[in-house]
Amino acid sequence: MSEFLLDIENLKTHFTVRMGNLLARQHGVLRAVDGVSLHMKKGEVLGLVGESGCGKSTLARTVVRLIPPTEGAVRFDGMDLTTLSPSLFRKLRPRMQMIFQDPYASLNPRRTVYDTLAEPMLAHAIHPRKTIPRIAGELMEKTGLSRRDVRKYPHEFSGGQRQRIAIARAIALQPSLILADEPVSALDVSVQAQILNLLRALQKEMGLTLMLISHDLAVVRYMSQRIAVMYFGKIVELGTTNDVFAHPLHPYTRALIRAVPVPDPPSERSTFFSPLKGDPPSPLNPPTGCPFHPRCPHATNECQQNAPILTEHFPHHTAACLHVNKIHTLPI
Amino acid sequence: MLTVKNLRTYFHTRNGIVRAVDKVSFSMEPGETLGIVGESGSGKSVTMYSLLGLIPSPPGRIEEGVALFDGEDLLTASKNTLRSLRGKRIAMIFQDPMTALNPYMRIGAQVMEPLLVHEGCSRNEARRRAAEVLTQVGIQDAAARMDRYPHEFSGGMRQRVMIAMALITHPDLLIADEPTTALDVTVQAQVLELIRERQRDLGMAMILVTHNLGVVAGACKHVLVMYAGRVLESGPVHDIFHDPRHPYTRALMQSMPSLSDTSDTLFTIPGQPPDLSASFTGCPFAPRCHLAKDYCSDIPCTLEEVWPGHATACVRTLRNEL
Repeated sequence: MSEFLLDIENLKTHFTVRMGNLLARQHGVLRAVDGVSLHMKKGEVLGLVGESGCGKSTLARTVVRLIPPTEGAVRFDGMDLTTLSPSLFRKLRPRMQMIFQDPYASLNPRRTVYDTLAEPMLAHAIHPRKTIPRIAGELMEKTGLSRRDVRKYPHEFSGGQRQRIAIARAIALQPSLILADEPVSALDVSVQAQILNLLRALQKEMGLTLMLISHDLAVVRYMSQRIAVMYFGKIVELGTTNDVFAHPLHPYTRALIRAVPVPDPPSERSTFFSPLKGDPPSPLNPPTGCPFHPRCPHATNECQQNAPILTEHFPHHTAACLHVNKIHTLPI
Repeated sequence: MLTVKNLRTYFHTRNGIVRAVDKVSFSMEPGETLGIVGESGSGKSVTMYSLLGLIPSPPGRIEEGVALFDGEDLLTASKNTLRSLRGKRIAMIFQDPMTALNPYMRIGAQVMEPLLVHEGCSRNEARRRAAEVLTQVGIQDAAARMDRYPHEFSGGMRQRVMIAMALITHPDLLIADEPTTALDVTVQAQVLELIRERQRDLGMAMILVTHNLGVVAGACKHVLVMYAGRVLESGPVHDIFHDPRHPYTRALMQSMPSLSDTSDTLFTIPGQPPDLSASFTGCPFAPRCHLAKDYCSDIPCTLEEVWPGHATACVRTLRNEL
C-alpha cells in the first residue's frame, strides 16, 4: 500500500465542444484538466486555488468519477479508480465525499434533513437501520445543529446552517477523503468563519484527508498545510502553505497574492493595484509555450515557445516557470 | 449632494412586518466614495433600491424618511422625475452582470440605450460614444464587439460592459452594489482600479455596497457598517479600521481570515443575525455580542458621534464603558 491516500497521476479531463455555425461545424477540445499529478497523504489538508475556469472543480469531480477522465490514473488507497468496475467503485465511494459550494442547490428542498442524512447510510448499509435516527441526531450535533431540527426542510435553515447539513451528510459515512469545492464562498464573513472552524475541527478529530478548493487565498491559507495553484488545467506551483505565501515562485501565484484586497486602508489614496492584465486565455485556443505568458509581467520570447514543466526548485516546493531563478528573489 | 435621513423601508409580508431598513441616515458630498458594509440581510441593498424607487410595492413600503439629492426628495419624487434621474444622473451597477444584462440584446445596443433615452442622441452618435466608453473600460476592439451578445463575454468583461453602461451619461452618483463579488480576485482588482480611475476622471460620487472589508479599505473614504437594517457605526475609513467603536465592526474584522495571520482558530460571532420580523427595542447585535450587558437589549440605540465624523450606536461605548 502506498503512503498516499490519494494519488493522482497525470490526470487529463478533456471535453469535446462544438464550435462554429451550422454550416462550418468544428469540434474543439477543451482541456479542462491537462496532466495534473497530486499526491495527498492521509490526514493532509491540501488547498487548491486558481481563477474560475482553471479546472479546479473539474479535477475534484474527476477524482470521484462524477466526470470520466480522459487519461491518467487516480489511485485511492492503492486502487486505481479510473479502471475500477462500477460495483467495486461503489464499495469505495462512501470513503470519499464532496461538499459543494451552494448549500441552496446541493440539498433537496423536498426532503427533510433526516432524509438527506439517512439516504447515504441506507444506500451503503453501513449502519444497522435501527441506529440511523440516533446517528442522524449525532451528526446534527457534531456539526453544530440542534438534534430537534432533523425533521425540518432545507428552506427553514439559513445558508450557514445548510452548509452544516451538507457537511453532516458528507461525514455521515465516515469518509477518509473529503473534497470541498468552495465550501464557504456563498456565505457571509461571520458565518464563513464558523464553517471553516467546524471543517477544521472535524478534519482533526476524524483524521480526514481534505482537498479544499477555493479562489480565496486567505481561506486556503487558514485551512491548508500544502497549496497547489492551478492555471489553465495545470498545476503551476505546489508547496507548503508557508513556502508558497512567503516565497511564491510562479508569477501567477505572486499576482494572486497581490490581488487580494487587504482590509487595511492605505495611508495614501492609492489606486487599486491590479497585478494582472487581461482575462485568462480561451481554453479552446490555448496560447503557445507557457499558458500564462500573455498575462505575465516577466514573460520573454522563450516563454512563448517553450512550455515549462513542473520542477522542484526547492525541497518540496515545485513550480512550472522558466524564470524561477530570476523571479523568486524579487519582493512580492 | 445626497442626504438621507431616517429612512425606513418595511416589507409587509404574510409572516409579519420585515424591518429591512430601519432609520438609516447618511450624507455624502460630490466626488466622495462611501462604503456600505454588512452581511446579507443587513439592508444595504434595500437602502439603495429605496433611493432609486426600485422597491417592489407591495410588499415593500417606504415608511418614513427623506433622501435629498440636489434638493429633490427621491422618496417622494414622481415616477417621471425618478425615471429622468435614473441612468442619467444616478447610475447603478449590480452584482451579477449576467442577470443585469439582457441576454437577447447586443452589447452595443444596451450600452447605447441610456444615451438614446436620456440625451436624445442620434443612433450614429450614440454608437460612436458607446464604442468610446467601451474602449475606456478596457474592451479591446470595441466597435466589433458591440455586435456580440452578453454570453459571448467573460464575467469580468460583462462587468466592464455594465460599468460602461453606467458611466456613459457621466452620472453625478454611481451606486455600485457588490460590483466585484462574482469576479475572481485578479479580475476584481482590475475592475476596482477601473471604477476608481473613471471616478477620478469624471469627478462623480460613489456608493460602494459590499461585504468585503478589503475592498472597502482600498476604495472608500467613509464607511457605514450596517446590521439588521440599521447603521451601527459610521466614520472615516481610517477610524473604522484602526479604531472601530462598535463590537460588531470589531467582530466582523476579526472573523475574516487574513493572508498575514496564521492563528489556529478563527474568531467567530456566535449565533445568527436576528429575525427582522420580530421587533426589538435595544441593540440588534446584543444577543450575539460578548460585551453586551442586560440593558443593551432594552435601551433604544441611536447612532451618536464619539467624536466629529465618527458615530457609533453602541450604548456601552457611548457611556464610556468600553
